[in-house]
Amino acid sequence: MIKKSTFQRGILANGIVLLLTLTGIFNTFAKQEVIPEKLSLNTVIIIAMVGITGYACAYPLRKGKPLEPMVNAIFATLWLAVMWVALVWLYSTIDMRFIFQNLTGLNPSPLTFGETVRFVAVEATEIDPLLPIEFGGLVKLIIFCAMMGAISGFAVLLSLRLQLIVGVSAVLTVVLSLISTKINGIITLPDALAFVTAFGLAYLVSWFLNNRRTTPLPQWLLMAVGALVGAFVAVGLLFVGTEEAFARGGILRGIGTAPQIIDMGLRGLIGGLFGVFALTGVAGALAPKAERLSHNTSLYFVMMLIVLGLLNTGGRKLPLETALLIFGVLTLGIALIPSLGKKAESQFVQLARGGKLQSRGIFLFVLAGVVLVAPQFMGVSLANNINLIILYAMLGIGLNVMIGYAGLLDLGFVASIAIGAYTVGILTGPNILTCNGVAINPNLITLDEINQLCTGRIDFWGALPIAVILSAVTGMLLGVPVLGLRGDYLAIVTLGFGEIINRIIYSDKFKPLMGGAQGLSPIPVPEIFLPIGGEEGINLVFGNATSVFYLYIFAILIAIFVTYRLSISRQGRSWRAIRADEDVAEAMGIHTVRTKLMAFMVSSAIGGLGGAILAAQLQSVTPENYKLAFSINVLALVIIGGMGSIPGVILGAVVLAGLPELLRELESYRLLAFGGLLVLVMLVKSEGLLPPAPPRLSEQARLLTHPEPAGTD
Amino acid sequence: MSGEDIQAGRISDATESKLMKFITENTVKNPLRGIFIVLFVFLLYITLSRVLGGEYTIQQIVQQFIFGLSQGSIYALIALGYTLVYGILLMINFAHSEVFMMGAYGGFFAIYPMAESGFLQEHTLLALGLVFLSAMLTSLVTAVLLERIAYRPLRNAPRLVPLITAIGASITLQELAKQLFGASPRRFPDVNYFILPDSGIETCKTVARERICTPGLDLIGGIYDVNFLGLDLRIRPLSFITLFTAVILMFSLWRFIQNTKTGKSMRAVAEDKNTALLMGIDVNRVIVVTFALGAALAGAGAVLARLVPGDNIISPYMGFLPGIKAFTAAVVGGIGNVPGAMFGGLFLGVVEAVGPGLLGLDNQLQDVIAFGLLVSILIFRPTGIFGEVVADKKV
Repeated sequence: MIKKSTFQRGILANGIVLLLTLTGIFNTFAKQEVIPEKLSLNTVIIIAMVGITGYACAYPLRKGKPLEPMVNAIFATLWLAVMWVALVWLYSTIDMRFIFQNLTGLNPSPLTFGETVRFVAVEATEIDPLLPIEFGGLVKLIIFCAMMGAISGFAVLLSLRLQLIVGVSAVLTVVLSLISTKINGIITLPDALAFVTAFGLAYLVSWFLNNRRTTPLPQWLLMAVGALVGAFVAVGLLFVGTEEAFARGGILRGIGTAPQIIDMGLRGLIGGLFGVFALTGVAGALAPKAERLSHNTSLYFVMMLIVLGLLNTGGRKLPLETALLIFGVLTLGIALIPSLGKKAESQFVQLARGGKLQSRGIFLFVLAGVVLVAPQFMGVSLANNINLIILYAMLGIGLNVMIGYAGLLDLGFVASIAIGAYTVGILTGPNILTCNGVAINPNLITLDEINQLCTGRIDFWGALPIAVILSAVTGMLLGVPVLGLRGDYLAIVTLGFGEIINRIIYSDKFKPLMGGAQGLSPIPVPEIFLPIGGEEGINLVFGNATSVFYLYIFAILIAIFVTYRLSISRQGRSWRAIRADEDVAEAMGIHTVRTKLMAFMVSSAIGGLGGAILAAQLQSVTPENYKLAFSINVLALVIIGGMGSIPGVILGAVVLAGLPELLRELESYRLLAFGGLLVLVMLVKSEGLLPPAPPRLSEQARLLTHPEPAGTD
Repeated sequence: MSGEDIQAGRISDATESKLMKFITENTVKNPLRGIFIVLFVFLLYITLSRVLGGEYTIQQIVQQFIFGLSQGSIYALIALGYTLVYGILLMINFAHSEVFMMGAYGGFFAIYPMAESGFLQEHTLLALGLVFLSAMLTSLVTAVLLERIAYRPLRNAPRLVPLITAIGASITLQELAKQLFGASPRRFPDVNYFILPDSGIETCKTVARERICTPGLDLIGGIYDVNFLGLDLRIRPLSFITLFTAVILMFSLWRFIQNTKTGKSMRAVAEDKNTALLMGIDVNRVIVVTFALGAALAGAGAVLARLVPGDNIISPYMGFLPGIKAFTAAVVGGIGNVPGAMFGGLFLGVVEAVGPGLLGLDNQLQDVIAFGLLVSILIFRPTGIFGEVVADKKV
């Protein structure tokens, strides 16, 4: 009845859970609440541990006899329960803190459902009465584990789609509730509902019109209908909206801040309101006939608007009802949107070429608009997190050229980043070079004195190209000695190179130039002067997180454009060829040295660009920031996201750079999760979460590789 | 190429002197080598001028050399783990540095209670034996589990996959150690072992500004001023013990690989995995034994490295630098080559210890020298000094 696979997986799962328990994971998260007074993070972790153990043991048996998975899952989870009980007993008898320093308090803990467990009755003292033996908590634990086993054993029998929808929604709900304090100020529920109404109404009307007619409506008519619906909602808002709605922080908060730059007055605001809603309506009307990507993105965005609005109602804490509502919205969205997207795609392919371009163009326009106003809605801390995600995504795209395209494992990517950052730091910050030969001690000097003394500094825009070029050149020079080597030697040499750079920027020998352990600061903020709008012109200052955002967006667009164009060019095919087999590639006439050096160069240049902007954002450079861990983080996101795929890298950045930043409390477990994920992804899905699509072959090539005629499958 | 060109080549080969050949080889054909040769000559010049100018005395060199030997023997012990695994699986076992770190913790959890209870002071040798055993066992278990869980399922995967898994395993082990044992560094207790109590040698140390002297030679904790061939040296006996122990361990490993049946099957698997399988060798078992042997040596190295008073801190991140340097040592000696790894370790240790002084750099740049050595070895002799011994050249 109990299968061999259950024992194997059970041992592994139990070992992992045991180790995690011994790390004191239940103490670390004791104070985190997912839903106040109802659900703590600890409980969520226990549910996850038991559930995953049961699921993992039941999974191989899902096609067997109907009761088998359940029995095996219950066996595995009961095993877990027994182990936990033994641990609680051991903990109460032996002092293990000498070895396991973080393990303080298994009793009472979520393991015992908050109840004190006593294995031996304690004799009464004068104050306390006799304390009897107590087992209640442990009994509860065993029953709970058996129940979770039964549930997970049942879950494997459900369809994979259902499991995925419910699972993803549940995880997202937990994550959202954990970060709710950070993101609940973005948009109010009425605002969100207004946008959703405009979009949804236009979507429904357009869908209805499409389905009722045999001949498709022209695009312009749909757009007009959508704009009309949007305007209608805007008129409704004007009637319903109060005075406050037009103040800053009300409807159109983003446009509300625009008068800082251009004074538009109330009339302008109302015009903006109509414009924005008409555009929303147009997007909604086009969506049912749009490309799948545009359709799904816009619908997911609308779904997120509802969720954000819902989060905003709860104040600092998230009540149970709201959490359930959010869960419902997410489940519905994740269940419906992909299939709707499929329908939209099927309509989209019937459009004429002009219609396709038009539809794409409008969605790009809406996307650009959303990206441009987004920082006005985010707070500074959220903007910081998003900047970090974009930075990591961009660096990942750079490293992806090496690892994903050319198959060269680079562990010293931080070297390029550091060179970019330090070039900007040296050229624009105070040091012996820019301060006319005077050694600067940043602690003993004021900003005014720096401005007076350090006249050799150039501005950010001058230093940026130098930084990028210098990174590219050093990357290439590093490439030269290691080109002829086997792949894993390359890994260790690049690792060594990264360490050398780190040692050099740390060292006292170069302190006058690079500031040693203290680094260089202040690095001036990038500014752009636009000679428009009156006599003074507009000075755009990228001084805080919400404005540096635009720099990052610009940089990542460049990175994506360059690497994408390269990857589909002859260069990209050469990279893939040497990744597949270097000898064969050489035999086919590919100049392997030049190809590899090109990969080194492009990748380092993007790294340098990222480093330069990072230096400007932090307004300082310190060696502490440019350590091996940085390389490993970027490497991890490329690999987990999917080597060679730009969407994969971006997903990797969101998962690995975004979530831990938002869940600051998980900080201490972040790297552990990194390492574990790396191993797990390699073992289970070594191509990553979003692997690149198989190369598009021409009809001839397809016939050569797959001789069967198309359409048989 | 046409016949005339070949002939012309032959004629020019014959007429060129050896020196000319060397020059063209290293400039036109391989400019990077030329740059490095110029760099070496420059470094040699700095070194000579510093030694001749009296900025760096022979005394300092000898003292650093001895220190370098003991440091290098630890690199060598770790390097063997890399080299054995690489020889068979063609994979850099990045997590080997964490196996070393786990060994240090294993030793610590054995020595600490013994030091507290006084057992260490009474039966020092027995206690040390237990500490070594504990460290080696911890390393061994870690490595074998690692092989079973993370590496074995990927035996036939593309080259990058197990390498990345190894990096992931390395991070996981580091962070797991941090979460399990605490992030704060811990110290190995001081170990003293006195011999020759009647020889008139005294071991003194300053405790709270008072100088306390004990008769006898402290083999492990002591440090002595010795006049050797007219040079005033400050020497730890431990340096020699470390070197001696490491050499014995490495020699036993060498004998094991050369003479036992398991050792022979290890060599067979390293030569050709599939043929070895056909010959009836249990490849999985051999690989496990390889991991276990390398890990046990690393565990022993971890204890040896942490017995030095003043350099006795263990932390979750202690493995990284020795690990990567040991890998450098393995490459320097020729990867897959057991005597090469021993030599490479000692060589790297000495270069690293003597180098900063000779070149007039501060010790912060010590690691730069080690990595510089790695890069230059890879440029001039990618197969290492002793040549590499690895399985199929291409997988």
